[in-house]
Amino acid sequence: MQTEKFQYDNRIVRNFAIATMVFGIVGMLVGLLVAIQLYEPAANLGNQYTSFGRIRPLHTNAIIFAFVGNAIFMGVYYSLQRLCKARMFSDLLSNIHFWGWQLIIVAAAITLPLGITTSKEYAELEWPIDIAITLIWVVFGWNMFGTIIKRRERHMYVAIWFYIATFVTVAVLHIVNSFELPISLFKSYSFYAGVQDALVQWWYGHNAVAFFLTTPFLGMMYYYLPKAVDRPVYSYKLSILHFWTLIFLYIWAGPHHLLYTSLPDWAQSLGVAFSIMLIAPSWGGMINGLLTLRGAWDKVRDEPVLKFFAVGITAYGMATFEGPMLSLKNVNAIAHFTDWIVAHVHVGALGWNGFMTFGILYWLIPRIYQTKLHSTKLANFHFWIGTLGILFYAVPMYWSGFTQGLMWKEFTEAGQLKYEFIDTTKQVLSLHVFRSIGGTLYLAGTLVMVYNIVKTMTAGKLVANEAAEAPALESNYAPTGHASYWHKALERKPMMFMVLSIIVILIGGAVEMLPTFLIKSNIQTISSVKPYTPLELHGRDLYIREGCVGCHSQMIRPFRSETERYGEYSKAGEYVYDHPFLWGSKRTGPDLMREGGKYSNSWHYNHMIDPRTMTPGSIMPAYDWLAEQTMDVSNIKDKINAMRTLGVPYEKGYEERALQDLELQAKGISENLALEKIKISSDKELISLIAYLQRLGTDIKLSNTTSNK
Amino acid sequence: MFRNLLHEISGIDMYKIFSLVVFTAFFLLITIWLFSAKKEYIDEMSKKPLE
Repeated sequence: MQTEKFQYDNRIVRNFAIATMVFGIVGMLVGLLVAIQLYEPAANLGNQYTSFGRIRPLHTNAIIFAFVGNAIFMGVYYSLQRLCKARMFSDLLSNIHFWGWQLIIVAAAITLPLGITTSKEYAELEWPIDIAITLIWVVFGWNMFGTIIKRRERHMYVAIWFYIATFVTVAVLHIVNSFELPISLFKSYSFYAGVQDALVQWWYGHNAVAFFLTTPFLGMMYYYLPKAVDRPVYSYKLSILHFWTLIFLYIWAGPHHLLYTSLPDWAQSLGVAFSIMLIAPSWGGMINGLLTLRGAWDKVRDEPVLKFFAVGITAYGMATFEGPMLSLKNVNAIAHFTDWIVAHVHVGALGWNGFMTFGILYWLIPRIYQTKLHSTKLANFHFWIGTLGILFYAVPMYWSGFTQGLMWKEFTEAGQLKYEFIDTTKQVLSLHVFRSIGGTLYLAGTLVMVYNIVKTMTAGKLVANEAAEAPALESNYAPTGHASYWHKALERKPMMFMVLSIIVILIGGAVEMLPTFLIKSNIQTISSVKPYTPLELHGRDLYIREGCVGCHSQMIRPFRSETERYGEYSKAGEYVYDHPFLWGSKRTGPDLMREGGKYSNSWHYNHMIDPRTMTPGSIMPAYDWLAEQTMDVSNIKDKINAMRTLGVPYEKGYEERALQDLELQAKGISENLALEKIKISSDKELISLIAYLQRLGTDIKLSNTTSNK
Repeated sequence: MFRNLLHEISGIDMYKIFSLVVFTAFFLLITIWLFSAKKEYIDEMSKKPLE
């Protein structure tokens, strides 16, 4: 058989490695800043571009798509070439992928602080960037499949299956969740409303965790762990079972993010059942990883790479056990909206994604630079300070989460709520200080790693094109005997494999979402629920711009502790005009579902100028610039038209009168404020935000729930 | 009220049963294949990263 000579592309691997380190540091620094803002409001730095609501999404996006994203591409580009015994399909596509992805990250870093956001978690970027993400993702897939097709290896190793599943599922998730109607270059409205929007968003959100933060790293685990420990994976059969059951089950579990909300009961139950079943494949993967180290634990003592892998895989196991537990309704009742969830995701992000990335960097960089790691001692130091950082982060957050969940629900013997919301805020402040110390330790470790890696890079020389050789595949391969078995045939046909993966993930998505979509989006289930006035709509867009949804939910669950505190529980029919939905996922501040009419306009004015004058001890940033900035009402016509296109019943020709209505309502609020000796002209942004807040939840409050059924 | 709307979709109950049946069938198929897979093939595949 003829042997072919070719070269592996290490330069692209190196580029992604540098990007993951740079954006890792940036993402963690922003994370540290938002963590400090949660106990020291002055850390908002007194301007809108660095206020919590705007830069919290910057932190999450930087970590998920910049730090972890670049780490995925680094890991995939190195291992895919070796597993296929082929250079990447096209150097041009590799470079377009690299630079395109970095440009998207830069675009995110500019637009998010400017308040350009869709407000949907982990999908905040506006529509032009969404399109760019789609194009670059296609380039990645094209390059990957091109490489797989020209491979010199008959069968695809299990790691490649995980990469394929990652590619197809992220593509489906991103496209379905990004359906939005643009009204300008930087503003769009979600195609879906209320309950539907929530269901699509959390189907996306949950599976972004599954297929961006989990499956690519499992694929990398199955490649780099055997490499580092120099023995095959514990059970290849288990890895196959792990793969198919994991991708099949994950996609169904999204509704567990919406327990006790207005989502139909059956969808919630489906989400819970599949979440519990998910323990099996997740732990199958963890056990497979840890057992690969059996008989080699002595190596773990000496090799920092293996230490990072061992803790990373353990963190994966803990997070994937905790996830199903959190999806039990009784646990969720306490945990949801609290810091418990923050602890949960950070065990995954810091432990699993972070430590796996660090392990791969320490293993890979010396190899492509043909040298030894600069300092094993520093790498060990990184391991210990990183592990301490995770503990200092997670333990206070768990404590804080339990405290919040229990205090919110506690009644006095007389049957009244025992604590004001602000009491719970003050109670957990010190825990938030500890959390930021944990984050600082973790960041310090990462900085030490970057130093160590840079030293390693300068000591060695990049082998940009690594020579390799392998026999070419016979083109007229005829499988015989056992080799003709169907799954093996599948492993020879990457395109068939991709199609089957898509079918597997679509089954769950379709079953989950179709029933909700068969109901027409504009069915008016509660007759008193009316569309927002133009001023309220404008205020709502400011609520989105400032990222209020990051700290305030708009979803009162049907518990006595919530209806006593916030008012009548939320009904699905109340959200039919909400493009996008703003239920939120965290209560750093109180729920705002029934905020309308609770306080006077002047209370809101003073509260927004300086929250601590109205609520001593509040950690909310001041929004004084809203009283200075003038409303931009130039596109109110487009907004009304867009909303009508999406099914909101504004009467014909209303867009012509919208501006007039807006000014009239604004004048009313400004005059009302004048009565309380507050001077503010009616064209300021704060006026529209007050109008929106005063509207919240009042449709039902005013009319005592009349259903038209 | 939302539940009532859902009842109007014919066969909504089938969804729960359908999901269970589909998953069980899928799981069994993979398991049967795994048990029938030859050892040499599994060994060969598991050594791929080390080549």
